[in-house]
Amino acid sequence: MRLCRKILAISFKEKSIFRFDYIVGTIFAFLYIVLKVYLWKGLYGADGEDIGGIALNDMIVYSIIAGFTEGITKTTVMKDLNDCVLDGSVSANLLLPIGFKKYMFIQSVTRNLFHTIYGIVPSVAAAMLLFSFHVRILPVNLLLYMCSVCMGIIINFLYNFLFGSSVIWLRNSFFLSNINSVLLSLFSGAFVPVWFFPGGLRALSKFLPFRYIVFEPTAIFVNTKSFEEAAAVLGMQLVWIMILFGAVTLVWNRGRCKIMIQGG
Amino acid sequence: MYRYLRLTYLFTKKAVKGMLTYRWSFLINCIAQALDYSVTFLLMWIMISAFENMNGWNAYEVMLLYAFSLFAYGIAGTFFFNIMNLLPEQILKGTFDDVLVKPVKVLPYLMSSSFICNYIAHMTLSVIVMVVCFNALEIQVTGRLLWSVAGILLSGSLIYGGLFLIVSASAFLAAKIDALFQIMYFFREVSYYPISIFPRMIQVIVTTIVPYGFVNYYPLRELLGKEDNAVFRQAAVWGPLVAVSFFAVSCVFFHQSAKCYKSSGS
Repeated sequence: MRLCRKILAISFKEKSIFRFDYIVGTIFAFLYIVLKVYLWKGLYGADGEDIGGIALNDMIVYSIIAGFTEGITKTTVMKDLNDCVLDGSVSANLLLPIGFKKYMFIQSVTRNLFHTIYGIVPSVAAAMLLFSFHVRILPVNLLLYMCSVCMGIIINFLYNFLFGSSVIWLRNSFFLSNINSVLLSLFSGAFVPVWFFPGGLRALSKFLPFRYIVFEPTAIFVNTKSFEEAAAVLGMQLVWIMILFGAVTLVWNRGRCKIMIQGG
Repeated sequence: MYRYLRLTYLFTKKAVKGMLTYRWSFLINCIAQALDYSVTFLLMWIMISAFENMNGWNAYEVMLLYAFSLFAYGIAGTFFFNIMNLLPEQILKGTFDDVLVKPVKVLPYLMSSSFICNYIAHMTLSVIVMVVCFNALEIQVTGRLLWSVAGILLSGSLIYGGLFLIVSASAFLAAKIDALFQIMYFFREVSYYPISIFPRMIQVIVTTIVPYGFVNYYPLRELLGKEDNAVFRQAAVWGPLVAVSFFAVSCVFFHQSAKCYKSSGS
């Protein structure tokens, strides 16, 4: 616990050096949410009737909450892994008296926590004040949402770690990380929710982990799911965590013996 | 003038040779970029198809907006992106001195030496999308249409080029230009959609301050004969004039800012 706090404090300090960047970043995070909301308003038009059972009001709430969910589940572990394997600093991390995967996870989460608190929360709050909408938040939904987001963070981390490990064999994970970000932006529902997908793509998204990172948690928050459906989503997330965790353990245990460290 | 054309030729040859040395890496880079943008096209299509239209513009028309913007961005990026990319660091480190001691004018030299090949991916992708969209909209491709498309793309690239120059010239005046970078890319995102869906203030900004509206929205509104409730309805006529004067103003701005350069010593 003390270790966690220490890493947390260092990560916080590291980030607070560039305050101006954060202010600019926050303003633009806000503007991007505004942009999305206006796009949906433009699509619904003046009469604003429901499309596919989704009302404009729900879509505004969805856009804002998806902005938050996307921010908090984000991870740079693929790039971190790539960098530290290539420049050899992974050797120091491997010597730490804490598991490498655990260390990377804590680092990724703390970095993101700071980013979320200072960058995402103000922009989301500002967007909430700007647009008028009504939302009925039940404590149960909020609780389910929080559980779902936590699992979303873990899924995204494990997935990125799994494919980031490819750097050990390929010496460069640029292309894989690009494919990954393409798939994530398509299927995660951060921009266009899976509701509006045509049949084939929607079916495909059911077999990929991406929709469980942003779309499903946000959909739970927007209150479009019954309790049973939400529970089913949490179940699926758990299944994905187990699959990915197994794969990561397998790949990492093999990769750890193969790591080639250049320089010293 | 001849001298700079020759310089452009030489630097372009150098850039192409450099690209060919690492052709696989270059190819993978291009594919990655094209994939990135295709997903945006795909998402756009999914989103608008689900609703049939966005303020009177259907999915293919909005994709056309995006494709025009992307192509113009590609042309401008080929010649100006490297200026924006490299100049801030050259100024901070003081290596901009190298450019100043050369027996050439600063801006023409920078333009002729900054050629990069990477934007071929953007341009290929947008041409493909344009063909698909013209097909889907059942627009006859005539010589007249091709001329107007070329005109629109040319003035669009002048506007993008001007923006690249303004952002890079700001590096002479301020140490960090990330905020300007963000402004440039945020409003680019805005201009991918028919700007009539945005509030009046945003429409005014993308028509006057960062004139992205003239890159794609106003010309295409005219070309496709759209009747939506934009704030400036007759703006299309001014397109080429705005593009040329915007580019000229940004060149002057660059020239004036370059005078503020103080070498950091070496």
